[in-house]
Amino acid sequence: MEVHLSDDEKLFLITGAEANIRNDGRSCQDFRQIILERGVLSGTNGSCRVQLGQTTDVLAGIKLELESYDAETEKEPKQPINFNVDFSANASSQFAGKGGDEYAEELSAAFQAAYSKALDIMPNLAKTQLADGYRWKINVDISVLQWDGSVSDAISIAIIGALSDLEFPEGDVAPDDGGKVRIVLKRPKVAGNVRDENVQVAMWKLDVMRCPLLLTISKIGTANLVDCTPEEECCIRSQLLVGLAAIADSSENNEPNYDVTCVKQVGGGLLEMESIQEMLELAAKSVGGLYGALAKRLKNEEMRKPGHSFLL
Amino acid sequence: MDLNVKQSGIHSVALHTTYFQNRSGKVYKRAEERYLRNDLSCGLAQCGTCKDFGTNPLLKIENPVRNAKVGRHALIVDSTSLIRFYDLFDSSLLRDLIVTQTVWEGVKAKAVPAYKKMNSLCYEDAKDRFHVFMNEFHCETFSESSKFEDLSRGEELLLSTALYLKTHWQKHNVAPVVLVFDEDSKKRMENHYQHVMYLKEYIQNLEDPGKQALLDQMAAYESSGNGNEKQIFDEYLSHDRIMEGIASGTIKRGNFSVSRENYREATVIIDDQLTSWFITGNNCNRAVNGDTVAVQLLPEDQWTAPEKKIRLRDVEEYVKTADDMGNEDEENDDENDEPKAKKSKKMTVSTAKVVGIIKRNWREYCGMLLPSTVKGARRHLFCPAERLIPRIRIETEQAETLSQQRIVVAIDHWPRDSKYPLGHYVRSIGEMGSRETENEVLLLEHDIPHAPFSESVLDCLPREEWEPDLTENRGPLPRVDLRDLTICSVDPLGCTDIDDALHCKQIGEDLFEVGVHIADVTHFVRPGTAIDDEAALRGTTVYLCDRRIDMLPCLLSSNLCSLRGEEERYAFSCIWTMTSSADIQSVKYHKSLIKSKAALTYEKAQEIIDDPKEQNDVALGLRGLMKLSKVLNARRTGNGALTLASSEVRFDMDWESRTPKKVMEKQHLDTHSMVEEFMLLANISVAEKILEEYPDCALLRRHPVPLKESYKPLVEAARHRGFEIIVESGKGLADSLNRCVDKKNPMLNRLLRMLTTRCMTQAVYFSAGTVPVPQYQHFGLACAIYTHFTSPIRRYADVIVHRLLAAAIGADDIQSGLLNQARCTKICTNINYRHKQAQYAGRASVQLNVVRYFKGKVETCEGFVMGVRNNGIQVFVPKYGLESIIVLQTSAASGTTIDVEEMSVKVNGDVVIKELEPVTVRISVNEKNQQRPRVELQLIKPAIPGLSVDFDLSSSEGLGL
Repeated sequence: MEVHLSDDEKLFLITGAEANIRNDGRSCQDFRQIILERGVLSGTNGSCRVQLGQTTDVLAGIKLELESYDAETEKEPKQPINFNVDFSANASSQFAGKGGDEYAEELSAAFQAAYSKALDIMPNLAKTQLADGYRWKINVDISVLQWDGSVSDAISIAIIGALSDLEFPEGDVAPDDGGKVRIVLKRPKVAGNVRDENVQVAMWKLDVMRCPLLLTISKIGTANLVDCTPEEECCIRSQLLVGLAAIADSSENNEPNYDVTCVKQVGGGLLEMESIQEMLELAAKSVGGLYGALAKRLKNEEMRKPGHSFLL
Repeated sequence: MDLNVKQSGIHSVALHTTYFQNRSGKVYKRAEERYLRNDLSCGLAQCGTCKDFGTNPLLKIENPVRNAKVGRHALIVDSTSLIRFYDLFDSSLLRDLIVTQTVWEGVKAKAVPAYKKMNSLCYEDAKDRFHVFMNEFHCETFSESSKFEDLSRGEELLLSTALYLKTHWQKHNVAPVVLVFDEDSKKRMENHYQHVMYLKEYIQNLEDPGKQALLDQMAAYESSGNGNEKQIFDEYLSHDRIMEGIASGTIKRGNFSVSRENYREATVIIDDQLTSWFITGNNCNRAVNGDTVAVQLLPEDQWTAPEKKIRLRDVEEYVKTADDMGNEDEENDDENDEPKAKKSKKMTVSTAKVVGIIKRNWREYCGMLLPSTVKGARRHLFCPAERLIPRIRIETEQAETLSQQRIVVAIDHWPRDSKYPLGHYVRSIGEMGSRETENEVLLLEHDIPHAPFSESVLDCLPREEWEPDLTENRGPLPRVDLRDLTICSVDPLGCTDIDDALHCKQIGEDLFEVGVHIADVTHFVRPGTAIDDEAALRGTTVYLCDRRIDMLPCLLSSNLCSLRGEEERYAFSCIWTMTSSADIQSVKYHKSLIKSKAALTYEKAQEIIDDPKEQNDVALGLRGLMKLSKVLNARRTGNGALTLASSEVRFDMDWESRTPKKVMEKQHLDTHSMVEEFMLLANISVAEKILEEYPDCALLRRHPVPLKESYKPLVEAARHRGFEIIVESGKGLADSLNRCVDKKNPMLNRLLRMLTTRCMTQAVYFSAGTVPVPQYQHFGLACAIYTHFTSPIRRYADVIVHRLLAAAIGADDIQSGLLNQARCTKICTNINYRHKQAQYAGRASVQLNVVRYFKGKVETCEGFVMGVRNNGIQVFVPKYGLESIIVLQTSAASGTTIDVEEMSVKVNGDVVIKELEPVTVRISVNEKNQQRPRVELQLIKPAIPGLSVDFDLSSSEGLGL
């Protein structure tokens, strides 16, 4: 979708935003409607689709890979998650051909940065380190199917959704030759009469409730906005990508606290320190609500009937 | 869409997710949609709902045999019962059986024989007694999540079928009965369902006298132990522990070599004194022939002795006609038998086990796929052409096409729980049985470089119209013009690479000048050139029956270097002056230009010598040579040189079709030994010269003195024939061998000499200075030092020796690297290897052609018993150099027994076959197996009851030995 606005239309949007009223009736810190579904791709180990507004449509799928590495040289556990964002050429005419590649790379790097402390953020992620020399590698592939603004917000939600959907097979460590080990899938039930493959493998899941959300905070006129529509994005002076993650011990003072895990300026324009401060504050204010809504949805979502892909 | 689905009998879709690991341990998720149906038949004849869905054989005829425990019933069997007692189900006492899909898959995956039985019972032989119930596709009986926490997945699926059928059949008053094998399984399932029984319990409660037969049958099976899979092999020690062990001496390293007679046995030579440790059975622990392994001695009470039994994989295959080779755990495989040799405690030898692999010697192997019995199977066993290599399991989708081809397979790894190493298909060589393919296999298997010479090699060649030039000199010593000498060469018929020529001239009263002239290859092959590198790599020319793979390009080997008659050629001459009693007065070496007067064959030379009318220079020279050679020979034999025998066979080839026409029996003429004597003399003289000049880098050839123990088979065999062999010295051995003459068995002497050859190790090239001087000796020839000088066209060692000699006498420069001991050792290692491989390839080629020769022919021949083993005799047919095994099945009924101690076969107590005795055998080609025609021997005389099948030790594919 390409949007062309006249100067008058832009002025209308800008003054509206400064008065805290956007043309779809939202206030500056309101999000559009978000639809989240998990388990949409049966071929992946975890998947999630997020639709935002009218509509930004993002699909995240996770593939697990059992990776062997040299335990001698790599003593410190490595961040096991890799992100790869891909813009479908159908998402918007600006992504046709190789149009989206640069932006996709930029976003992948941003997510990589936001999750650089993933081992601290997800308490049980260390479990992916199966044994000396073996670990799970988590490849998160994100497809942007349709673009209607605030892609990074949608992607960050989709990633959390997919990570929460992700199931790891439990592995038993079996001794192998020369002091090395081998990973064997843990099947709590014995086979008896059926082939091993048909016996279910024990699975475990990640605790994702502290995973970072990436919000785009845009400055239009003097106002700061979350979740901009494409029309609004035409009027943006400057934009910040802010990654926020909940802090572990926030229970003491009822007010949950959020850590800024990354800040990144997108697009042109200069920002004063003061404005950045304001924008970060807005991000921290709005992320609480989004976290709450997300947690509720992840808890209450009824899984789709198996066998139906999201295309049906 | 929904409507259509419903109409077609589909009830719902379940997403079925499984996780699995591939052979390298990677984890994969497989998600499939499973369409559950409501139109699958329960199989009951009376069932109204299912009557349109299938044949419904259950209870079509009311079961005539009542069971004390249950009323009207149908049986659901579990897979363990089917696998273990599949033969039982032939009985018509067991009727109304339901095989669930789960059980079907389970049996198919675990036991091929049981699967085949089950398949034929369900769909052919006993269609009316069996019903296959597709429980995993039935909407009522399949569920992804488990309902019974305490049951195994298999039991769960079995039980949900039983529960469904129970309600489904309620109004027909039929109860499904679950038959299980496992005790625990029964206990667990009884909590949820009332009719769970052991198979045995069910049969016991049958009200029919026929049940006793079934119970007896079951008892027989029960006693056969439950062959549990799990880990077959012990785990290897860690690298550090092996290194520690080697340092402390508890672990030794060595080369793993599998016995050629028994693939379950191997030896590892652990030190320089050739101490060998014996390894048997699972103690071989996944080592493959040629691997460098770490071995540890077992406690003495676990020591065993070699079985003295012939165990070849293909033999066992034919004997058992075991067709379940595609099966993972062949339950009735006697590879799991403990070697019986344990009983004979008194003969035990140091027995060890492999605790680790230091270096794998895995390469790519040629061979073929074993035919699989399960159609469309993906996993196959690959049978390498080399019989010392174990079978390899590979996965392929194209088994159909590959089954008719020779293929190349590489080993990937050998996990602890697998009986066979796992590998993968590399490429196909070609159609099985075609001459080109088989030759290619042979060359590849023996690692013989056989590609055409490259451009850069051919660029090194001189022009074809090369002319000798006496003025070109490479060193201070000039080339001598010997064109006026009466020189001639003596070679086999058809020889084109003539590398030696001789002359003899009387120069005084009782004084002769004798010259050996060797092709001057080093004049053309300069060091550091591409042609030299290539020759160094090839190391030797390889002679196959129908092909020669040259070390040097044809222009050199058959033309410019070949000392052809009446042509001027460069040579390297070694000229002695000696008396008529062959006392050498002086010796000189120089490069020369010669013109051979005649290129004779052995036969022609013999003719000339014997014909008194021939009085020309050539004839006189030859007679002089002959006279001197006899003196030399007598002196050499007097020193204790051995005359050894081997089974060399040559084919007269039809070169049009490249098929063997007939076997040429090698005739031994005096001229053979005449040439041989002078070549030996030249080699020895040159060896002395180069060693004197270069005591730490001369390339020599030595033949180690064999250990006394290694003569054991020979001494034993001779003792049984009433002869004594003295093994203390070479002279003693030679003399005692000469005494072994049996008038009744003229072949005996030759056979004993063959046995002697087998007791010895091969002669090897080495660099002077790398072993102690006393070990320089050549045992077989009984001389203190020896080298190879006389065949530079076909051996690279001679090329080096030529260069050394030329440098020593100043006929050529000393080229860089020539006097480097390390380099010399490196060259020796390579040419020793190439030399050995070339020999093996040559023999293999003979075997290959024996098979081709006997195609459609049958011949009765004399053979000799070379060995008696627990289960057969080894027979050698001298005419074809063929050595084969005839397997005898000894049984009390036939009265045939084999006495390994006495090396004889007895029928009713009378000795009918003894070692080294002649037997009459019929030779034919067995083409029963189209893929692997093999030469078959049948014992004709003496006739022995219980004689069974026979097998070709010299390898059905003509490879291996």
